[in-house]
Amino acid sequence: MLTIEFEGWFQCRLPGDPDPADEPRGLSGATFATVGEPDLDRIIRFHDPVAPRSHGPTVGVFVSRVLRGNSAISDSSLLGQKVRFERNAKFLEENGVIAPVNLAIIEPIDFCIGPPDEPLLRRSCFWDPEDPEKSVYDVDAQQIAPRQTMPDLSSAHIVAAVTGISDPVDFLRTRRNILVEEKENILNDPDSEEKRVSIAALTQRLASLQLVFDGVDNDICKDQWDWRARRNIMLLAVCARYRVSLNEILSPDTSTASLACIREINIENEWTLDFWMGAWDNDALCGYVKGAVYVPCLPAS
Amino acid sequence: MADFAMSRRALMMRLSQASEMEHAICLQYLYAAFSMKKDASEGNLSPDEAAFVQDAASVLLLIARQEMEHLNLVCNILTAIGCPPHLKRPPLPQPAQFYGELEAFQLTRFSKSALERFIEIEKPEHMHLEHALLTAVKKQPGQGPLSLEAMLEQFMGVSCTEGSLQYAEAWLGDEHDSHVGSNWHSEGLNVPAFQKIQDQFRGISLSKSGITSSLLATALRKPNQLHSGARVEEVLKAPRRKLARQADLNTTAIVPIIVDGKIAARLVFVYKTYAAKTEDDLFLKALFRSLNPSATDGTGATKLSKQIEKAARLSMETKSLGGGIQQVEKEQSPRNFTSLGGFYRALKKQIQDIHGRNDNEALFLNDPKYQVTDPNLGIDLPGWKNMYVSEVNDLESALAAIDQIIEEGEGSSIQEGTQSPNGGLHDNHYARFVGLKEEYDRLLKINPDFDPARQVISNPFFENSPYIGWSEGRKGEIETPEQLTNSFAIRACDLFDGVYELSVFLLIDFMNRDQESNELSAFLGSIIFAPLMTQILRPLGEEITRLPAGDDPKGRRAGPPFVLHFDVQSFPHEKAARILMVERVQELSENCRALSEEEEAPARFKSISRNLEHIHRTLKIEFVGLEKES
Repeated sequence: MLTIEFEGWFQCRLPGDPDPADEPRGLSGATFATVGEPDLDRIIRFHDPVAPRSHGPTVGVFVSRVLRGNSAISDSSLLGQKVRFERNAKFLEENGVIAPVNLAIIEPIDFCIGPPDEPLLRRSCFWDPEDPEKSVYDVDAQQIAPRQTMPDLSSAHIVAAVTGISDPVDFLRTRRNILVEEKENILNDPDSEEKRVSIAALTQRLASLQLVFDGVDNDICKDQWDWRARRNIMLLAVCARYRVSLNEILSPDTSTASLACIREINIENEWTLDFWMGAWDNDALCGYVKGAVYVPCLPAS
Repeated sequence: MADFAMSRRALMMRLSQASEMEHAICLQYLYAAFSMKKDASEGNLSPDEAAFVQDAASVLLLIARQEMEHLNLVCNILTAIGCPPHLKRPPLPQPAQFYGELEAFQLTRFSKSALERFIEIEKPEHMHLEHALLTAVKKQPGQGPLSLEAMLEQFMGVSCTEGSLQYAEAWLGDEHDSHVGSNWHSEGLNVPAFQKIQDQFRGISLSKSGITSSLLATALRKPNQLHSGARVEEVLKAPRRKLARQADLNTTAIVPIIVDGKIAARLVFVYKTYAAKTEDDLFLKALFRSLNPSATDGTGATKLSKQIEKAARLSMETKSLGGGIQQVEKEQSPRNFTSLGGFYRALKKQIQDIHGRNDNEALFLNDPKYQVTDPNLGIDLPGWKNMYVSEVNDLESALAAIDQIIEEGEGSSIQEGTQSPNGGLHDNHYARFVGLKEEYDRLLKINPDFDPARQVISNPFFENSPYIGWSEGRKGEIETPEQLTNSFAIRACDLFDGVYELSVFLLIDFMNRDQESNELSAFLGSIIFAPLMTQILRPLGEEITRLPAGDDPKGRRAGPPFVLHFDVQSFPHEKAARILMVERVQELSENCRALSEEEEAPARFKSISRNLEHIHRTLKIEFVGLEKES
């Protein structure tokens, strides 16, 4: 078994409930496109973020470790390779149409390792391997359920260890202070359209962050509404788990692949993709992803 | 027993009106929200203008959602007293004063006048009264304003003998309380004059007023020591909310003080709304008369005087029930109020009255299984964006529900322990709308042509509308209803009304079901708000306002009419509910798909259609047997 681990920050410019899933600007939920940014598109981007926000994390998900059995392969050519979902993967729940609220699936799952123009490994998770065209709208709730996320509220320590965000409130306060400073700097010299756009966008971000602190600072956090008022902050500390089978029927000839490890892969069996996505940062529209793909190998010749 | 039955009926009438108003107000905000431009690409908006458009739409949708929350709370009170939930409403538009003294209820695009109407609808009760008093003071024909001494003497003579006044003080509003100060900015408050007034205030001879027991008298005779134990200096620094909590009081009256023809300060009187013998409205009515004895001569103050008198009459009459159903209906007429806050305070009093004359079990027949709360609705949003619908099962929870409605609306209920879970004073609807207007005014000064909304028609109707002609007789009182003539827009609006009607049907059926164990109820809860309202109704409404209303493709835009074609009733039994629901969704889904395939259909219609189809399929599978039968 080859275990390929990956991690890094991703971007997803998605509207939040109760906005409709295809809301382009973000009006009712906790996320929005600021002035000057393109419409929200819900695409999960592991690289090349669109309109990345200032002072957010650096987006990029890479292979971090490769193991054969329990032994790490320190010189694996896969190390440091880019990891991504292809074909504009999105979180889908459609306010309960596809999946229960807060239990989104990812669709499509087309997992890929390597450069975009010449992937080293690539395999999809199809609803029906015999009918790759079948979409989530063609299957029923029982088939969708295994693809739904499993919210994990108990792994805060893991998320904190990986991301370094041990105190989400402090993290957001720091972000707010930096944004205030950035805005003040621009306000000193706002005589261009570009700067006016930046000021408007920063104002929107600061107003949104202020709502979070209103929730923390006000009495409402001391009573029964505590959890809800703090939820924006909690999202930074929790994660959601996914575990899917990459079941696409593969027929490529991997025997001549340039990387030795790929020549050993068993394409007959399904691969398991197991990962969590968490530390969701509503301000930066980013989160952290960490996981592994488990690839069965051919018996040693 | 007969009296009590009539009391319950009168209460049901008022609660039903409350639900009608919440329902209709919600639709007005939604209509305005749907009309908003989406981003800078629509109309060359500047960065600040684009941010405003986004913020205004967000606020409108948020407040509309809270109106739904209020509707739910009112229905919970209805259910708790053994009455059916009420989701019927008269058709829109309705002229001004159809509901008390409120503004016209109508469907108009977002504009400055619409925003001003929304502000009036949400305006706190005390501001209506302030306005009345201010008008009276300014408009005494043939004479200057009353002297401070004369006014105070009259005021105290009237108020304190009634026994309701608990505490009074004078301050400059904006330094201590920005909440009520916004409409006083232009009046030029004068700080040095305030000191003079304070001195005069303390120097008034109270003995002439015959005050012996009021806390006001105590406070004024010993200006350094108030009944709550706080020193005057501390009180003057304290926010009004905190002060009121200390004193366990809940209403203010604010009297402008005129010095040299200008408003120099306000006297803020804090007192219990429904004290033993008198009402705030009665009290203010008397005050008004004392300030302006000639207010019946046809001056501009007359109308305001009548409003106060009407409110006062209502307050007095609600005390004496009995004497036959007609008398009760007349006395309890829910039509007499100047503000939503006033309406709800009268409602509170009515509940307290009925409850006070009976034991808890007599009024509240509640079975908690039939209470809809936010978990039943499948809603769980962060913080203030959430909907907070609590169970009502006794006097305390009923009053708390009403306090929440007042707090979120006008924000002026400051009774201890009633702070809304959604936030404090500045999160209320009135304050949010005022904030929007201030920003809108600022942007209009920079660019007088700034228009944040699409050119959506007002009070839309189409040829086969059941309410055609309804508003014919109301021309001049409302914005002229405009007919939809574009065939695609008509079909889209018909689809919208179908989804809206289905939502209301499902909601009433949901509210009538056992929330704890009924499987159908749980399923309804998971479908009504989201996805039906969020994923179908809202996108449809937004896309309709992109469509031409008539034949000119560049002409005015269409708007969803929000027509209920049928009387809203619960399904007679569960089998009917399941079958009719599936049938109706199927029909809507097919209509939507046909529309989405038309050339002029906005791209979003395809995803709306796909989602409707998916909901239909889920319903069929969920409702066992139907899949096989079909």
